[in-house]
Amino acid sequence: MPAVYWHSWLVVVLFLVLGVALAFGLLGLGSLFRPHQPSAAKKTPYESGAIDIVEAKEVRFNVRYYLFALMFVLFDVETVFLFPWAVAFNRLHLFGLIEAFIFLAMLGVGLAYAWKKKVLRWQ
Amino acid sequence: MPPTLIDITGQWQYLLAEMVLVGGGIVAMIVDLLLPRRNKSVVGYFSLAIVLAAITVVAVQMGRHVGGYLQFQYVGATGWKNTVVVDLFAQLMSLIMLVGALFVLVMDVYDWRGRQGYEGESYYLILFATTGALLMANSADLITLFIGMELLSLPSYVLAGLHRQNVKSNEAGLKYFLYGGLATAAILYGMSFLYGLSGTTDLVAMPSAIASQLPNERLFFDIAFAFLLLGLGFKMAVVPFHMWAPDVYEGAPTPVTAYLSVVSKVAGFAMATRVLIVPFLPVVAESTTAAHTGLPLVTILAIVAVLSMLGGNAAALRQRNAKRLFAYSSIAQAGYVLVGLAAMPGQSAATAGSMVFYLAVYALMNVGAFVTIEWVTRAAGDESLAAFAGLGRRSPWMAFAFTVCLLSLGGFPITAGFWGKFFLFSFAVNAQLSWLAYAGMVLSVISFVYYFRFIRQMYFVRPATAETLQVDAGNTVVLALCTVGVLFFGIVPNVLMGPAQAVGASFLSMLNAVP
Amino acid sequence: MIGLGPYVALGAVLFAIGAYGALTRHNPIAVLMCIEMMLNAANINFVAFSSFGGSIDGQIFVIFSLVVAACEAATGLALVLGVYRNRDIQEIGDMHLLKW
Repeated sequence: MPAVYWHSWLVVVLFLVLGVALAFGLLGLGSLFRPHQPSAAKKTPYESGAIDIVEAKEVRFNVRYYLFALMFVLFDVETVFLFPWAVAFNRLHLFGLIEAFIFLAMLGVGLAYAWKKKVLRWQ
Repeated sequence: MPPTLIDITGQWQYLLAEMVLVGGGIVAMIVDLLLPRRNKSVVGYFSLAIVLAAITVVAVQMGRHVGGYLQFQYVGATGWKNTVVVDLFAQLMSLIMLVGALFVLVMDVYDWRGRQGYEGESYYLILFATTGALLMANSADLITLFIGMELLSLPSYVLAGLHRQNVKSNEAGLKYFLYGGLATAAILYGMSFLYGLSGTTDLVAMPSAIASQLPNERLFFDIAFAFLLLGLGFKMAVVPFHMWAPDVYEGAPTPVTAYLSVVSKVAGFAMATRVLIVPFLPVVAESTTAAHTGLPLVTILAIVAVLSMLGGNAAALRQRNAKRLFAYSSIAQAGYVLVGLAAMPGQSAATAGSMVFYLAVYALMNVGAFVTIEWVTRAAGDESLAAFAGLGRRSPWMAFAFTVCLLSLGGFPITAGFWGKFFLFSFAVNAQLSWLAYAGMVLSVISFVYYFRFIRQMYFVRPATAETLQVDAGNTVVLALCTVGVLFFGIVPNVLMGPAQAVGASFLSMLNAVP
Repeated sequence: MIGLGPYVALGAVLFAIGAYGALTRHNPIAVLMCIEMMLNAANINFVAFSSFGGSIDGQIFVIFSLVVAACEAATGLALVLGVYRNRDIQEIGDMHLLKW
């Protein structure tokens, strides 16, 4: 193994040690100075505001939220392809333009499907 | 110069079949959205026409000896990169998968009769999945390969769970998705090492790049191989990565089961050849030298082959459900093909041909069997073996066709399945894997036991009802074609083995021909 | 500076955590998240190899695999919802209609 290889690991170890030391050091330093007076109100998730009625894991969301999230994630992620395309647009000529529009048309068909299946409407 | 539209048009023909399928799929999707609920079978007939068009494209290209690479160039860079390759291997595998998809669509149109649900979706999802399957055989680049694999997998998960009111189908879809997702992750991880070692995603340039890296980085090649084998093992459903197959095969709608056991499996083997064999040929070659320290890759493949033949055949013996039995049967069948895959590094050219031959025959006999299973289980409303009781008296021709397919699956002489096994095993002997060939022969004898259980039910058990089965014209044609094909290639195997042998030569040209 | 080794090690650790989670968790959505983690482990590998190897292919691969991962998550969540709607199921262990 070349020395450079171990050298690069040294940096990682250094980061780990520093990171852990920083977190624990600062918290420890704080505990030396801060007052310690626990009370029941301080243990609630939201110290000011609404009191929770049920356990957090019992809360059920409407399925439609998932559907909206799914739609969002898909269309959001597809734009990943449009950014490189836009950057290189000048040098892609007509070919790039047609490609991008084919891609967008396919996405449009997907959107039309969701529309027709009434995913977009909140009932 | 960046590629302009004019530069690249000459190469688009290499993707023509895929473009026909995708374009047809999108049109089918729009048509399905506009159609009223009653007439969805129109989408099915349209999809059939699309697959027929794609078959025509591939056949015409084969006839004209079209072949080559679809290439592109990064903006501002010099040098061309391969994305898609059209060689004889890709074309023959595409034909097998397209014919399989065609037959499955015919089954699917029949299956949806008198049912409510996502009928239109099932047709164009098959089109999209088949596009992915074709890409898996055609790709000359890891990225294209990965996209193709996912384009096959994602619609397959949905197809398995498409009967939304059926709880078994739901579970099948979810299980398939969870196992398939794990496999995808393993494959991607393996690919990342393959890329890191060769510095390219181009599968044509990869073997030589790997050969230059080889002696130093042997450990990482073994890691890449292990993860790729793990993931592809899931996709091909071989022991010990087969756990999902029986559950999914049982729960999925019967046409989808047929699709998984034929098209997905063939695509898995096409991909395994592209990514698990060809890039590792230099690694295997290095293993024969005295100095190597890595894993014995060929032996590992051979062991997996034996495990799947043993596990599939042994587990099939005690199944009561016909679809589940066929899941184990196709695990064992995958084991036979793996014998070919394991022999490939030693005997590349010839063995690739015998593998293609076996997969073609396998597609025919398995589709034939599934057509019968579809008819019988639907009429009886029962998926157990008892549903086949007395079929020989109720519908003699159907029973005869099913018997031919079963005998061929077992490897009975004068059927095509016999020649398929004969070629595979004899090439294994040539590749110094005689023990593997003998194991395969012994284990395939076991398979007759459970195939004969069907035959016993059909001819020696009294039926509950005497009425003949309702059959439809489309599936009758499919079953007849499969049976005639199995018998025809059984009597004159050279008709198919001739072109299949040529596969090897064209396919190996990938190794040294960088255009 | 930091070499290739640590990045690959990070990828390996992430992959191992993901694989452990995917094989031990009983909630399908948790399994899905673990699978995403495994995919991202591979992505880290790709970016690291690309950055140290000099070819840009790896980074392009990551764009594609990210999108594929999103599609996979969408498909998976839809399938999970399908199962939840028909039966009151919380865990994979509750799915016992199909057994090997």
